[in-house]
Amino acid sequence: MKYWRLIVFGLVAFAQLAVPASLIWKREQTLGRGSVWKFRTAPVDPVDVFRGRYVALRFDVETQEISPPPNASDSDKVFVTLKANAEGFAEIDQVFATKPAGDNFIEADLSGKTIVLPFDKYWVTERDAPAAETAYQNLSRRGNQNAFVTVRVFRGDAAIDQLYLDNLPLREYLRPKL
Amino acid sequence: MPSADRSGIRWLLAELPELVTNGVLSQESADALRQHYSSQPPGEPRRIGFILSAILGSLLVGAGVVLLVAHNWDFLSRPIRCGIAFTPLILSQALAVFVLLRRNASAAWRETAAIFNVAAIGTAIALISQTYQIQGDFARFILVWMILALPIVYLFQTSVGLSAWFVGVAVWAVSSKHGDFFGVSPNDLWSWPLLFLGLPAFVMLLRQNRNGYGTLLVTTALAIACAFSLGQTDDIGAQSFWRCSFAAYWSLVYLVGVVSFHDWRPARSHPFVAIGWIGILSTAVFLSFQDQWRNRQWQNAVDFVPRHYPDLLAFGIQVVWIVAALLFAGYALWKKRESNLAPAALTPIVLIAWLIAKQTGDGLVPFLALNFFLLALGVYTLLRGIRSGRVVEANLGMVVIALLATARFFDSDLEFVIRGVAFILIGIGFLVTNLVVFKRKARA
Repeated sequence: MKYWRLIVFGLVAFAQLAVPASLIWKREQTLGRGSVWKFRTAPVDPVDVFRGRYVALRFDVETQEISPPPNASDSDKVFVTLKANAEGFAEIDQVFATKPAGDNFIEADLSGKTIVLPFDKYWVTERDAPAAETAYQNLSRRGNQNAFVTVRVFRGDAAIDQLYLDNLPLREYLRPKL
Repeated sequence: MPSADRSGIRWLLAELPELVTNGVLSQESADALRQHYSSQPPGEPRRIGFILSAILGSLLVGAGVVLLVAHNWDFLSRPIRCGIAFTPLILSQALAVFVLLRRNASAAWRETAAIFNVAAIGTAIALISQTYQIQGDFARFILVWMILALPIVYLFQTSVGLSAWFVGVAVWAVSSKHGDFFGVSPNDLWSWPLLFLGLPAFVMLLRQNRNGYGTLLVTTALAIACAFSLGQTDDIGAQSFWRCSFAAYWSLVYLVGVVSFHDWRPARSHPFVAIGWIGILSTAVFLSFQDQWRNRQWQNAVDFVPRHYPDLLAFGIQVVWIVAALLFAGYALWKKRESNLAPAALTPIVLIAWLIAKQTGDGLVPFLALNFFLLALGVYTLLRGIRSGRVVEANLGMVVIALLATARFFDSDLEFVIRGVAFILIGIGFLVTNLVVFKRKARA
């Protein structure tokens, strides 16, 4: 009588461990095998950037007009391939309704004639948060746009690697000020 | 005697010596009574105190762990942070195994182990997500967390866990707009199958301890989840029909309190009776404004042009609620004639009003129907209270009448003098009613 409970709990416990473990596994795959892309952040509304302990990110490519796949409706999942522009930042190459060949694509949401990237937050520590917020605001204003994130892309998954301010990773950029 | 009144027992035991000296009871019977009541297992309050402190303790510890780790120690390497994320989960699983093997008979241990485990699942997923900058939407996070926690509800028969499941369904229903329901948006109807997944545990709990506080907690959580799910469903189905489905919802809440939990406590009614009264009165007063049956929201409501099948399905769910409320009211009329079932008449009245308003496009009939309903409900309840000498019920009837009067004064162009006189009359009514009831009580 006791033992079937234990067996069931064993399965449940395994599932409980498996879910976070699979998150790690997928991310490690992407971080280890994915290709690196630089996404330039878009000018932001300074009031709305910072929520809790993350920086809310907006990207230039999210304003880029694309040709959506036929029969796709708003907020559908689409697959996006990337290309680098002259300055080395990522731009949208093509948009597909089904998974394209190769490893170099990300899953995104369609929004009219633009796409919404599947990442929009950068978690920072409690201690760094206020400084990070101010720095990101100053470097993402119109005319003073010098913030980007590096993202690893592997078979649909996109993992944010670093937030760069003035070409320095966030931690290093903040270090002299801390 | 699950819900024995402990103060009553104490009173009885104190009375025994006097009863013996007066010759009402023999010494043997008195001893037998004392023996019987003293050997009662420690009453519910004590056990509840223990369970409550166990629950509170584990919640505090769980929250503390979350806060500590959410501080986001980025000087730690990723593997170490992952290790930290898994630690509470593994500890909670070890505790759960211990409880399953050794302490399965104790509700406090089971609740504690379950809460700790459920909290640890959420913590682990959230921490890994933060460490790896994994984005993903809130609704999906809630859903994964809940699905992983559901077996715990069954394995540990935890009432707090089951309540968390129902509340989780409500949270998910609110946060998950614009997804898929078998390929067609929107997906909010999924909250009904999710609610059903918790029902067997709820039935088991009802069988074990229908009048316990744990059951009350779960029933409340279920009612809240149903309200949110029904709200979302109304948005998908016939939109103006929310008037009927929520009339049915509140009638059901009331009937559940009056009929299903009629033996809740000696001389006290189930909390759902009061909640049902509040819901029924607010709905009825709100709908008694003629404007509710001809404003823009009423005119623009999308009712009978189902675009996809989820719309029809949602309408079906709305109808199921009406049918359930009507059937339950019929059952109550048949079985429990002695309780005040008049509030539950709201469902058929709103339904008929809605049908007529849809046909004629005129708000007059619903306006008259609901005003008549409120007046009749008030007078009936008042008379019931006077006849049976129940002060609370008589006053409740007066409150209904006063509410109706207040509502009408807001949307009519009556002169202030007339309003004043009417309020004076109602006030006098209150006084006279109480006088009559108290006199009757004194005479009885």
